[in-house]
Amino acid sequence: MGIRLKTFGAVMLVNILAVVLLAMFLQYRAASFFEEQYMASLYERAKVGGQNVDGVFQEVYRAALDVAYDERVAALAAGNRQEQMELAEILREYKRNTHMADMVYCLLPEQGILIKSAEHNGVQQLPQDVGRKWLEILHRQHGMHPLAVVDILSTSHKNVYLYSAEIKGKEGETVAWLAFTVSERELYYSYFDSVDNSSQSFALLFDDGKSVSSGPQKLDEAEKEQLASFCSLGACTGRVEMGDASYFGAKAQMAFSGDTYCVLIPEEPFERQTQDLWVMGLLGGLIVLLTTSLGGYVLSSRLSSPVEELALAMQAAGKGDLAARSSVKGNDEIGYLAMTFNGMLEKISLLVEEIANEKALKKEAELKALQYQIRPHFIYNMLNSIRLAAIMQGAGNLGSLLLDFAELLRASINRDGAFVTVEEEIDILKHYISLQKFRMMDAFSIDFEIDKETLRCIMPRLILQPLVENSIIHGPSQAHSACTIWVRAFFDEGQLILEVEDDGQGMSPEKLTEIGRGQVENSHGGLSGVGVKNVKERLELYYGATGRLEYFSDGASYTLARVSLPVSRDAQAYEL
Amino acid sequence: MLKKAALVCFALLLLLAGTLVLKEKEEKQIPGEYTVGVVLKAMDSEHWLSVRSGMREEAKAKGVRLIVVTPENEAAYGEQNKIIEDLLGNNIDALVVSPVNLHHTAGWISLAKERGIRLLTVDEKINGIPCVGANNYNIGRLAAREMARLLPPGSQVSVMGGSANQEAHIRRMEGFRDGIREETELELVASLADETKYRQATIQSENLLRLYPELKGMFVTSAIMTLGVADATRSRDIKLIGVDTQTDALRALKNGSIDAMISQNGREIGMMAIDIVLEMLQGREVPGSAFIENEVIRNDNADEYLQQEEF
Repeated sequence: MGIRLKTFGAVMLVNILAVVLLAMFLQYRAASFFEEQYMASLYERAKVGGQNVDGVFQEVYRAALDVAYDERVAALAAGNRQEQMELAEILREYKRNTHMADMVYCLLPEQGILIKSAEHNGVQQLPQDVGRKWLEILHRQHGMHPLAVVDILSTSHKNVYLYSAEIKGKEGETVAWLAFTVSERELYYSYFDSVDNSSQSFALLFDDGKSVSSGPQKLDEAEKEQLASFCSLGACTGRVEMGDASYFGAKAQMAFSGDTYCVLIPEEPFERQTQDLWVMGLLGGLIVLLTTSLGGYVLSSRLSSPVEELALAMQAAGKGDLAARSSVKGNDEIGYLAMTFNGMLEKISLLVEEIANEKALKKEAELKALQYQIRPHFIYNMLNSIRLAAIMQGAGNLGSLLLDFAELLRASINRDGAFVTVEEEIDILKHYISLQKFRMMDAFSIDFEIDKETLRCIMPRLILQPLVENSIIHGPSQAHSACTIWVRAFFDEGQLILEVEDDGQGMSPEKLTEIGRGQVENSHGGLSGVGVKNVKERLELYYGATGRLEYFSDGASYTLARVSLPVSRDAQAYEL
Repeated sequence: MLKKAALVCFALLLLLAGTLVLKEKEEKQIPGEYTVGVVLKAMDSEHWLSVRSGMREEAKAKGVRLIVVTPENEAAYGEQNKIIEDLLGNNIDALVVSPVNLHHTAGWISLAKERGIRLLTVDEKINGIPCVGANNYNIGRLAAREMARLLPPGSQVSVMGGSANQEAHIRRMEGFRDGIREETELELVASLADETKYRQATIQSENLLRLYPELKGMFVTSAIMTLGVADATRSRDIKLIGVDTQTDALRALKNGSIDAMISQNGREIGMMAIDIVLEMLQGREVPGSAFIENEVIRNDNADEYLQQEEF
């Protein structure tokens, strides 16, 4: 659970970081993409707008030339007042046929007479200075580039774009000056104002950085300068800083008139939109992340819950509850694991049960054995009573025999521990020997050579007795009926050595090997029924390689049995 | 494992973002296109409308800025010259002109040379200036050959040209005259030029028929005049040949009032003019005169040239 949560947290952190980065990146890309698209469309608008305005200028220019080269015009202009009124009518016709034309003026500079396309007052005498001023203005217009100027002939003195043309007579002399005007406001509202619904958008006609057709708000000099520098740039789109606001700008050079059509749109709404985009991207990313991670969490929980349950079952089993079972089912790996675990527990509890049963059986057997000891005890007690009776009746010899027998019996039936001290072992041996002496009529003599130090050492019980019994039985021969037996106990190289030696007939080498292999069984009923083989086996059992029984013999004059044991004074040390 | 993968992904993401962010923003530059001024003759005939259409199409395809301004009518050389001079004042790289009067071109030619503006003429050849158009002399000879096919030897024929100030008409008439003399046994009895106007052509052809009652064939060098002549010769058995592929003339050809037209595809001329101007601006050598193919259109193949559906 812990690691899972940590990993989950780490992955989530990385993911959130990735989402944020991705959102930022997307926003950046989207913003630049939209900006590019926006600029491109802005440029298209500027181009189309410029073409439209250029079309207007071209038409007015053409109309001005048409009037100027209309043969009737020169003739009528030089004529009388009636003819000049006729000319005014012609000018009106031209104006009607020319889109966006505001006024057509025909100035006769010599006479100071102005003929115009107005409905009334078509022919009028101009004050001298106005005529001169007007002529000056007309001279300022050249070629296809319209002149942005104040129409001083109109009562409202409005801003106009003007084309002028010379009207020449038959001999090439200048008869009159013609002017065609387009109202700046009319042009603005027809071709600029409709650029964008937003009132803050501009569209401007830039005339060499001097005159401007702009929106409701007037531009100050600094702003005009900003615009002029934008218009002189090589790029046809870009950002323009004007006042506090930043604008997207696009401009198109108009081929015919040479002016620049420029569109400015405030950047702010666009920025807001891209900001929205960023927030939306981030939100969307986080929502997707949240739902997927939630889903992942639920899924992983469903996956891990069987594992957790299995772990719980294992823990319980580990604490000793062998009845614990995992309830996980299914045919996936976890199901298989649970099944195997359950099977294993099953086996373990069976084994444990078996062991417990065995223990119980053993206890029962021991109890039974105790019960069987009652009879030997009874015999022992009886023997003691008989012994006492014998002593009281003066049969001291018999009494001591009975004592020996009783003690030997006690030693052989005593089951308190498999180990005794060397001293105890020697005591038992002595009882046994005095009984055997009585029985065998002193066919042998025995000699003890015991190192006093060894008396406190422990050894397995009934080790020496079988060896001595062996010497008593096999030692004496026909030729050599009375033999001597030596029993020795001493230390040698840190080992406790117990020896039983006789000077009897000895053993053949075959017999020695048989004994060495532990193949010799006790054939005649001795005291304990415990033979040399048994001694060997017990030594191996208690001491492993450190406990040995060896036989030495020349096959004629002696037999030596030697037992080597590790030195120990602790009765429990080698207890099984 | 998972962490490693996430780390690798993260690093990749960073790398991607980095490279893309660092990618330089391209600023849209004003296309470095050529501006070509075009002054044609009056837009009162289909021929010039189709020339302009061809020019516009080709200019759009090749990225050339076009300023097309035309005078009121084909006779107005003063107005055309004023337009040309004004246009030369504009920031143009080349000027394509179809001069209405070959005798009043010196002024703007020197002005253009002074300003380093390339010049190209359409339909009218001026010495030293490349020209695009129909091979007008060839048109005349084609017409002569067609006349011989239509009329028995010895028949009287005449030729009527548009303005005597326009190279195109002059060359067509020359071609016809030479063709008649060198390749046919027809007799050319009259050769006259007048304004390229419908009414004028009708009047002149009526005069001609009065003067030469035996006249059997007429070649007229302009389509609008051919239609005017057709008006006068409707009741007479006169073989009439004109020039151009404009629709009204082709219709007249189909209904039999005109016998043949020598093709002159305006769109092709317009497109060729733009191509040649571009080659000039790119500093390549161009031929003194580039011609489009001319063919004889007769009643049977007129449909191929009629670009418009009949109502």
